[in-house]
Amino acid sequence: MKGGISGDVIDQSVESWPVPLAQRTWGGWHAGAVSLTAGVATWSFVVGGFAANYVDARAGTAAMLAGGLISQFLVSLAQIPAVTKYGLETVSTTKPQLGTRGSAFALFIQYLTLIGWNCVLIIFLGRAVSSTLLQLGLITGDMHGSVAIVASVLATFSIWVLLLLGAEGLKYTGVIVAAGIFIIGTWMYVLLFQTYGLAAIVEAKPLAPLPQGRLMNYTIAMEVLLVSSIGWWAYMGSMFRLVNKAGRAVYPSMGSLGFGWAAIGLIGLYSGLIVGQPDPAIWIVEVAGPVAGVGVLLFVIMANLGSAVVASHAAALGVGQVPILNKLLSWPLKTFLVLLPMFIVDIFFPSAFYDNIGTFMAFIGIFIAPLVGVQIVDWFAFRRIDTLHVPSLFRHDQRSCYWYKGGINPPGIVALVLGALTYIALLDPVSFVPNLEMVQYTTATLPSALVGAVVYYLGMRLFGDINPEAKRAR
Amino acid sequence: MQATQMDFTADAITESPDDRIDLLEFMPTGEPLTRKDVIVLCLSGIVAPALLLIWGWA
Repeated sequence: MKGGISGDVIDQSVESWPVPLAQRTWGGWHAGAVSLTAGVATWSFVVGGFAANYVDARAGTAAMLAGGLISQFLVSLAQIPAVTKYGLETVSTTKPQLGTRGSAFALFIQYLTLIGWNCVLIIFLGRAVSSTLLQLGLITGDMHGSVAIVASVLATFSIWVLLLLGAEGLKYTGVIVAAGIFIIGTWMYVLLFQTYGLAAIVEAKPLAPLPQGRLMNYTIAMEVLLVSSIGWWAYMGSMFRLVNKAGRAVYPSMGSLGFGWAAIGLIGLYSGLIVGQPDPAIWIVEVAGPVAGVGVLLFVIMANLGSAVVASHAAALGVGQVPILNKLLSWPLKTFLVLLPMFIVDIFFPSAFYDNIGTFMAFIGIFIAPLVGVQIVDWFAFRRIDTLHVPSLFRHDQRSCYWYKGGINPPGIVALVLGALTYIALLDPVSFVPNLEMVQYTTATLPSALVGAVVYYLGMRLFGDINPEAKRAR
Repeated sequence: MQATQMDFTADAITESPDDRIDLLEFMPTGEPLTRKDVIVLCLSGIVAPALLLIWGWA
């Protein structure tokens, strides 16, 4: 058996091939639980705390929830139609737009996004374990760094073990982690409001607003969520190709990845505003003592490990689009290969990576919005969702009708580059300092997606092949 | 190879890679987005955010 461990028949849920309809057994609740697991991690608090720089509690609540929902609306349109109709993972859905070889660019973006953030989450988890053990007096200060590394390595190893269970492991991990996130998240809300009171939180002023006025700050707070949530594109195929109806993916997609993760992020916003500290590992320990810190640690372990498992599953499926790797490597080896950079980072340079990865990740992330725009145009304006030739997604030579010019579709690649440049022209993706005043009316993610969509549409109309599938019939 | 939709089972795709690729053409597909799904998407992705933004600004 090459695939997972669920029987003699190949488990397609761990293959990068389309999942047959008969094996797409996830209902909406399972997909919702796994989505929530993927979405909620310590980055929720970081994003909420960042928004606290610009807006108060009321404006921040609106901006964060709206940003999450709008981005996930676009991501859903870009991914759900193809993923649920044909059972495809994310990278393979980009071949009609970028070309058979051009989709390597999507794989590059997806892999770096998923594994880069995974490293951040697991290093954070290791540090949280070590800090809690230190606070409880179970280790000494000089052991702090070593214990953090050991905890990170053990967490990465746990991810690998869970991945060996394939989609079933994902499903059951998702249900348990989602329940834990819901319970501990509710406890954090209760603790926050009981300690500080609703009135004080509502009255709290933003920490460091931009000088350009209220609208600019409101828009930047929303932009933080827009650009963060658009990253869920990389995760979509791994989760939603296991449902057999698009309708079963809509509610979990919007509920968990649009609303759910932003709702947990609001804890970071409120605590950032009232305590000046979005990290619950710090403010909860201050108000409720070190034992409560164990509750926070439990949350961090579940949420970060859950997100990392889903991301690693998606990355392993994406890597499977490289024919030689898919042919030579079994699922255990493929997943180990995906996790290898994490083991190396965990052990050899966790601090250097953690302190410097943000800038690189920000520049990788800005390619996702135009890619989302390109895919929406392709599925709906060019009706590719009806004409898609699935075998061509898995042929890596000129027999594929998505071979275009040397395996690359130039309009798709140009659309991505111009869309990303649009983002940079409008806003610094690292500092979130606006480069143009018009950002307050437009955001940066939405024009970036729009430019990608328009350039792709015009490029395909003027220079491209809108209906490459027709060549097969000729 | 003459494949039909009936051939596309989990067992059938254990054939050689080229046969598997051919069979994908006959793969049964999932249910596409319905009008109701699109309405839900638009309500949650456009209408709700617009209302939230108006409330947050007021």
